[in-house]
Amino acid sequence: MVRNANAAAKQPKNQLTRRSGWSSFINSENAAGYIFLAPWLIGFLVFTAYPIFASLYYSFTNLNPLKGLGKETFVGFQNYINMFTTDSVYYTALRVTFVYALVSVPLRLIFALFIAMLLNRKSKASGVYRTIYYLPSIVGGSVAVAVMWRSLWIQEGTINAVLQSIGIQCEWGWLTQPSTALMCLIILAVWQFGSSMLIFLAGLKNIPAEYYEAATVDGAGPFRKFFSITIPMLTPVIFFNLINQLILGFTAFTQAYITTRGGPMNETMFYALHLYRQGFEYNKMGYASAMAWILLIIIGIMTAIIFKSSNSWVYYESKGE
Amino acid sequence: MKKTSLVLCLLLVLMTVLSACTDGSGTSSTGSTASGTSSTQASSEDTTRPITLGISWWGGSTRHEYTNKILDLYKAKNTNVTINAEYVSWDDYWSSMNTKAASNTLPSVMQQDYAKIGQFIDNGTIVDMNAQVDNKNLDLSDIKGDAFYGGKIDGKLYGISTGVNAFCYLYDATALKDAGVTLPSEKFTWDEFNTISKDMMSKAKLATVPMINTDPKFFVEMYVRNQGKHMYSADGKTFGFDKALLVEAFQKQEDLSKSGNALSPDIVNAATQDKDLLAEKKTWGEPLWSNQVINVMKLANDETRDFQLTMMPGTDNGGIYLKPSMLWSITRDCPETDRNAAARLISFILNDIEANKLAGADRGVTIMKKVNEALVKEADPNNKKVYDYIDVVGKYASEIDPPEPVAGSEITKEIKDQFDAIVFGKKTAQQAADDCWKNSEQIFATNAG
Repeated sequence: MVRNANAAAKQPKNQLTRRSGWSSFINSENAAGYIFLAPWLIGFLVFTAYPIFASLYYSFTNLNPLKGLGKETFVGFQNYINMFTTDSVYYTALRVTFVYALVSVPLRLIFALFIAMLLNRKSKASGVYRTIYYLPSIVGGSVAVAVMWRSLWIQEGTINAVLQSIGIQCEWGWLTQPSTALMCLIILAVWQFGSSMLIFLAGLKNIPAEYYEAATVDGAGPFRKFFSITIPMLTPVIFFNLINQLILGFTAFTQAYITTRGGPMNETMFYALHLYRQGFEYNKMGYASAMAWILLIIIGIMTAIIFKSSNSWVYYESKGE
Repeated sequence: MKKTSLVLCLLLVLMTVLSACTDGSGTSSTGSTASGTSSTQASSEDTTRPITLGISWWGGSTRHEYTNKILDLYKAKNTNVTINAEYVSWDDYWSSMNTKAASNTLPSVMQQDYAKIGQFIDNGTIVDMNAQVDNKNLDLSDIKGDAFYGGKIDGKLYGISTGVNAFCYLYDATALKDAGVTLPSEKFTWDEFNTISKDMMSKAKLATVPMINTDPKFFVEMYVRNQGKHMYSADGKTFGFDKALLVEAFQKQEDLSKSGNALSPDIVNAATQDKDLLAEKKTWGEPLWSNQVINVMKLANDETRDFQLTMMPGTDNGGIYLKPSMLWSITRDCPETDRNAAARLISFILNDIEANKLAGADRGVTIMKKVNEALVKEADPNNKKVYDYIDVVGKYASEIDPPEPVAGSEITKEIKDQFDAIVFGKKTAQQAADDCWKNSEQIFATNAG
């Protein structure tokens, strides 16, 4: 209050001596806050906000990086039209991405929940296990894991070597055959369950123990407890994880870029990878920007559907009564 | 939702950021400290003023090592020159260069590829070097002949060949002899190819690799050239041949895939630059560019195996051609005042005998007469094979097609997709050619507008 009074007292004097907005700003209460905020704010404006709006503009142009910025011409909706009429790989990329996201995300969540349940038991070693199970996610998006995944699943890779050692002769190149390549990448995604697992773990810890005790008294078995207490109580966390992971799934890039380059026969041509090729290999930056905006709309719709449906399946304990 | 947008835009961020950084000045900062000091550009013998030159190339670790040694040699002789070298792998090279082009920060000298140079010329990204040839900063007086410039388009010199190479079929002569199979002739006819392919499978259990799996476009190109056609029409807006020829070319692969003599696509696709199929005895031979041959021999690392080069099957009627292995170009982002200095650096790399001894035939067989003499004299048996092969190709080759049109890289990918479908047995040659033709028409159409 005292400081406020001081500031109020200074204000008229400043306005008298110098009427510049700058000095009134720098002496105001909020100045320090804005200055501390500035690095993030500038970063956001330059590295996020500007590129987003620039890409919206470029999506209506034929921008070619070799020509240089500023040399592009306006082409209207041509990029958007080409996407759906002339790009023969576009629908493949959409299909591959939808299959990848819609299969890998539920599997990953189920797996993450399963491991979280195991780690939720009271044990001295659980801290160690949590770290170990989280490791794949830390290194998850990295190039090294993608390279390792390649050497696991190629024809002379580790998987086939293990199969051979138990007497199964397998000549199948999992990652190089069109029918199984995507499956390898889905398994990779499921394996990187760590971050969802940690969130599930936090959610599990928040379920009051009394519920389970009461259920035990009433004679409920473990399955009944799981489906009648754990799952309903966990729905807000599942909801959160589902949306997060779905977005990650639709924007997947590194895995396919390193392990398969979109091949064989475009069977792992993720949307983001196709976008990258268009922009950086075929120099159609305008077209790539248009693709990015369609992806944004697709993800927006998927998220909206989940939000809409959440009323009927997400249970909040405190419904604001 | 903020997170969504963030992730989405990551790919495009890099490009736009660079634009934000250079929007104000519009020109590159490279070497700008030196500008303005030299008043006479044309005949500049500026050996004292400090000059900074950027140079970029793609390649593997061997190329990086010897190229850096060459640059060290140059710097020792020209102490006023500072050189910033950028070198990465092929894939990363082009994304990096495209981004730099967008932000006007290309290095002064860049290594170019014949398949890509067309786009760089069309967009004014690289400049004509005739002025530097005229003022002797780029010394090409010793060139083997007019056919060797490589990057001379409509009289303008946009790129100078680092050396020539040609597609070849590299085979393990020792394996063929051991199996009692007759070696292919210099021309390597399709009949010979089919016989060897069949015999090597039955006698030595060595299968045959697909026809240029990494880039089947070159196979199609050589096939149609051998029938007197070109890959693209003169205006680059359509193919330069009929669909029937594409069916024929694809049919060669279908026949091989269905013959039971083909190597499994699983093994083929698991190969990398350091895990070569021929070096690891998975096959008896493979199609390669002649400058890649030495690397395979090194990987095999076996003195007892006699590797020989012959022409690609069925290319003796002008299908085969000599190609500038790579080219050196000066970019528009090299300040006018530094272009002579950039030309002198290229000149050194091309003409200096010590420098070329370091390089060998890695960037193709040299285009300079004196350098060639010196290298042939000292060439080890492996390099000698490459020099001899280039001479053989000279007898059968016809002139190389013009640089790729804008649609080139997408067409190349489309051919690869359809070729893969044949290799995996998903489509017949006819189906693949139909699809390829249909999709390519659309690619040509979108790139024309």
